[in-house]
Amino acid sequence: MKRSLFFLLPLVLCAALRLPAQNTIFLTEGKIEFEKKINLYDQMQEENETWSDLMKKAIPKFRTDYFELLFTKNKTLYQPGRPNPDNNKIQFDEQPAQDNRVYSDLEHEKSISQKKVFEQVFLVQDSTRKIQWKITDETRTIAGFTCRRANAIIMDSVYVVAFYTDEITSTGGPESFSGLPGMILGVAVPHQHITWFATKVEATPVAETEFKIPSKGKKTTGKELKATLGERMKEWGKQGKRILLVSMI
Amino acid sequence: MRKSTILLHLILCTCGAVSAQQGTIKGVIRDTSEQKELPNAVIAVLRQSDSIMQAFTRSQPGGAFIIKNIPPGQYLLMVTYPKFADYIEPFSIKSDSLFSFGPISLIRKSELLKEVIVTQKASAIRMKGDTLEFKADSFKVKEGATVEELLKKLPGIQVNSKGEITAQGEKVQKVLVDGEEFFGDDPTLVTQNLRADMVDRVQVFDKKSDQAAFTGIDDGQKTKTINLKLKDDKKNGYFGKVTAGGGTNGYFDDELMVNMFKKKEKLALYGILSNTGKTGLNWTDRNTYGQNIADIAEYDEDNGYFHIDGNFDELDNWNGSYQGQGYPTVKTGGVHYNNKWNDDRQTINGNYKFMQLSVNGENTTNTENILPDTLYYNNQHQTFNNQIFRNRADGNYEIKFDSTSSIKITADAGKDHKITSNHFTSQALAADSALINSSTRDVSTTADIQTLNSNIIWRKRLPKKGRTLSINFNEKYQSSTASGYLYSENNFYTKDTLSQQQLTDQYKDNHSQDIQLDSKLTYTEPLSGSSFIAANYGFALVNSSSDRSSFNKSASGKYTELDPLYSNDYRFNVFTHRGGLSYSLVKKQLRFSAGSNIGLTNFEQKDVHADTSSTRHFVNWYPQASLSWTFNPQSRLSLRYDGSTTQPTIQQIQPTSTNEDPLNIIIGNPALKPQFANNLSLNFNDYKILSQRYIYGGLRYTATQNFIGTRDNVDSTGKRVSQSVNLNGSNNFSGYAGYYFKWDKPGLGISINGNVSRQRFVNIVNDVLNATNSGNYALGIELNKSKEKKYEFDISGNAIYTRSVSSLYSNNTTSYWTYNIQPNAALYLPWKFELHTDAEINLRQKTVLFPTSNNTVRWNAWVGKKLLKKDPLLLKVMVNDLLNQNIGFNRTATSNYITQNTYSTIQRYFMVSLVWSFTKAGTAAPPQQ
Repeated sequence: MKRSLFFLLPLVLCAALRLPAQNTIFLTEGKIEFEKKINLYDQMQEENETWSDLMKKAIPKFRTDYFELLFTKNKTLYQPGRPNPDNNKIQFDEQPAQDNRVYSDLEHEKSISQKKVFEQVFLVQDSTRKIQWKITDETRTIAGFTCRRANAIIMDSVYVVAFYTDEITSTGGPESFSGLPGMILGVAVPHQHITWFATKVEATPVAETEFKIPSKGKKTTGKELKATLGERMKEWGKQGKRILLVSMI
Repeated sequence: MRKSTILLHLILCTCGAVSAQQGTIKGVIRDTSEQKELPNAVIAVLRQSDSIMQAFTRSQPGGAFIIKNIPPGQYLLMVTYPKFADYIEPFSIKSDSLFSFGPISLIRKSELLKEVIVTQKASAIRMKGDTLEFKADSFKVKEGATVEELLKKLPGIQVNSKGEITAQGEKVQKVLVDGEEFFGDDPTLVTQNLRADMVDRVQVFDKKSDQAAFTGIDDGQKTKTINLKLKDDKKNGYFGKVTAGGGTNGYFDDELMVNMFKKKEKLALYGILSNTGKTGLNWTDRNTYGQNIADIAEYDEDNGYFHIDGNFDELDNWNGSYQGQGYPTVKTGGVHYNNKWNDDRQTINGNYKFMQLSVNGENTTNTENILPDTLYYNNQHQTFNNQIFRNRADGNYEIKFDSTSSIKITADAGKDHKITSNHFTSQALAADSALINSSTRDVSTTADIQTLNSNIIWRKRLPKKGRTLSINFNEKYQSSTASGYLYSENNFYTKDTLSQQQLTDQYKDNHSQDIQLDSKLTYTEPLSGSSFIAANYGFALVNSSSDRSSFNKSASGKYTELDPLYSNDYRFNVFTHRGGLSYSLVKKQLRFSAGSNIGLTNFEQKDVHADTSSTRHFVNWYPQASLSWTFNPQSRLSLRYDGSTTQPTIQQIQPTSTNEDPLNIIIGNPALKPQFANNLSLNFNDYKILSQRYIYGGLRYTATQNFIGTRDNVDSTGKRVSQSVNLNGSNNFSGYAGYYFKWDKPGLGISINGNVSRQRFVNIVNDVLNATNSGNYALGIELNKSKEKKYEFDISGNAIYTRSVSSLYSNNTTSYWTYNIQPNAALYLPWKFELHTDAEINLRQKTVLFPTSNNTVRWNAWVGKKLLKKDPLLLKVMVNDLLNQNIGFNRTATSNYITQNTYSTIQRYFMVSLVWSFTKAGTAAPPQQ
């Protein structure tokens, strides 16, 4: 109750003062900090029970990492952000394609992403992912922005939930999620137990030079990467399927 | 306006050749109250059937928008603008049409919300405590119902048509499933849904903001949250297996194992009757039918490894098979119980096992003894018949009071009754093969050993992140009573003629007791997010007593005459104050720690019979430092140093002689000082997972100060007197390296490994300081190839070169090669047949000293067939050591004596066995072997 009053108070005030609508500020460029959370326990459920019980003693339930998304009207660059010192203590846990750097040219529908899967750094050059978003009327506030929920299926079977705001005009998002009418400030891949949520949005001008396009790594395309990893992971059972899927997100 | 529409229409028609039958929409977005055009509004076209977004745009500065290339169909136009209510309007596109919406007026949310505020009512339901909890099973829902349907049934919770949840009149902001956010599955996109029957409890509470949870300062920011606690998917049930096996030469192997479980409660039993070398549960069976390793392992967060506290000995090893000499016959059984309750905050584990083991066999030892500039040889033959009856119970209980503090109590107790009986014959020969002495000896002992160990630790995490406190108390108790008879006849020869005879006929009665108490307080203070300082203080007390009595046979034929030479009652108490500091740094790639404890140690030694006592003081250091560098998750280099202090045992310090072998007298040394070892190690490993390549290597070096070694005096009759003394100059070095790679084309895994160990071992022989330099150099290769459910094949080969030289007699060098080849194959055939075979080929080079051939091939095989539906029955026919060549064999050459030991071990037998795996219907059983 208290919470909803808090929420409504500025709206009521705003209405009372009758501020002109043109005062709504639309962000066209800036920086967003994303918090990526992985539920490490749920990922282990498919593995040997003794092993996963043992691992639960060594690693926390959630692993949190920070990423930065630079955006202008047509370009986005997603890259690792500030380190989380809590992760230094986590051993026995290696997430494939964790510290990704993804550059997207939304105008020309091109993307270049740098992904490290185990020892190999891949440079994936491809077109931006086309996602058939299903728009819903559910909303939630993320980092102070009202966001609308959209659902989709990617890679034939992976259920994705995204929240976008129309107050940011860029149609990008974290990793390779894009194609909604506004900036995506929250993504969940529920069955793989991974979420990205914006914690901070900075309305600062972003210089062209800040878009450092990833250039290092073994050049490949999404299709080729899937084939390469699929070949290596075929003897790894369910865990291999997860590694392949998470690497391709 | 109209003109441009026509123009647009024309343009669309002209390019219609490419995108025929596609429509266009246009319009203008306005603010109702302000009567102004709204730029930047989102205009999205959604398919009416499934809300999938077809196209979107933003309105221009004048509020106008246009969307082209819309395929014909039924759509919804959705217009959104911050702080304005959504505008939704259905429309349809026919081929090549233009749909004009005209001005679209948006309404401010604040205008709408005014009414909402008035209509919202406070809920009549009151919260009990912080959390309101519902037991899901008490609310009836139809089979296969969704979580939303369950929530609708709960009093005070409403779910509207949009799926929005209201609890106690407030909108629920987050729904969690076991603490992780639940987003709700879209049934049109996802088939697997969270069902109501998977939910155990529904908890409704006000979640504090992350900031408040982190800092502990309540900022008043709360969100109404529902947490769904899921049921444990482990069902109630049982499974197990029964093995019955009978073989030739009286061999048998019968086993029963059962695991019963009810949610988190587990009760497991096993029983084994066997004379095939099996003495307990192996690694995999133990996790299922005994104490699961995951329930007792503790993780050391600072160093990044698991450790298991426990007492293991040769009868209680990890693979559950007998490792010693001779033919074992075992009757053993055990019970395991564990349970977790109160949200896993309380856990208990308990085990009891008993074992009756009898072992008999023979053993031949040939030794070359190196003396200053001469040699003598000793050949000994032993027959033994030993029995042990063992009882052991252990358990632990842990309670987590909250997320910051816990207490864990562990305890174990044991009671062993041992009866041993040994008969020895031996001969000693001089370098020229002349007989020096010969001996026959019988030793029989009955011993009772009792142990009781316990540990209690309280751990507390203090509010500041990284600040911790722990207090640990540890107690160890062991008492041993051993009594028995020694009968020995020794004949000594000079120039092959009997010159002297010695007869020993004694009754021995030994009592020893050891009590240890240890306490430790540890405090950790964070210096920054990645560095810590830890301080600890504690004291330790070790009280040992050893009362050894030897009685000679008196004229009356009874053992009543106390032999003072071999009798002594001694007390040895060690008291240590110990404290220290250590610093550690944990970065993403670098881990470093360094520190030292200092111990102020007091020795109190008392000879009860002589009524003498002495006190000595020592300062012991316990330094350690480690550095590890993780280049990336697959490769790591680590360097570690530690200095370890070992206190002498009461057996080494007690100033008396022991004559269990009258030709090898051992004397204690009350002047012994603690031994201090400097250990340095370097380890490296590098995995390449995608290219399947693994490189590893390491070096280890240990140099020991005041090493507790021996001073031997061998007289001309071949009698040896040996005393523990502190010696400097012993060290050892070892290195290992390996390389594994997968040869892709034939799918062959290849691994090559090498080992080097070099040792400098110092002792005193006939008052001459001896240094034995010995080395082992091994090179191995292994190949493996497998195809799941078809075949597995691997072969490994090792070549080992051993060399040893003693400074006493440097002309006498011992060197030899040994080779070991182990092929192993499994074949899975049609009709549920399988064939397994393995062999161990040992080639041991003959030497001048050991001229007999010891080359052996041990070949085992078994054929199995799975029977009945779902394969619960396995029929096995196996042969152990088909060629009947197996021998127990051991050679050592690290001191001034070179020894070869051969002993009896299980050889050829055939066995037929039936393994029945049973499972209660509907329970998840472990994979069949």
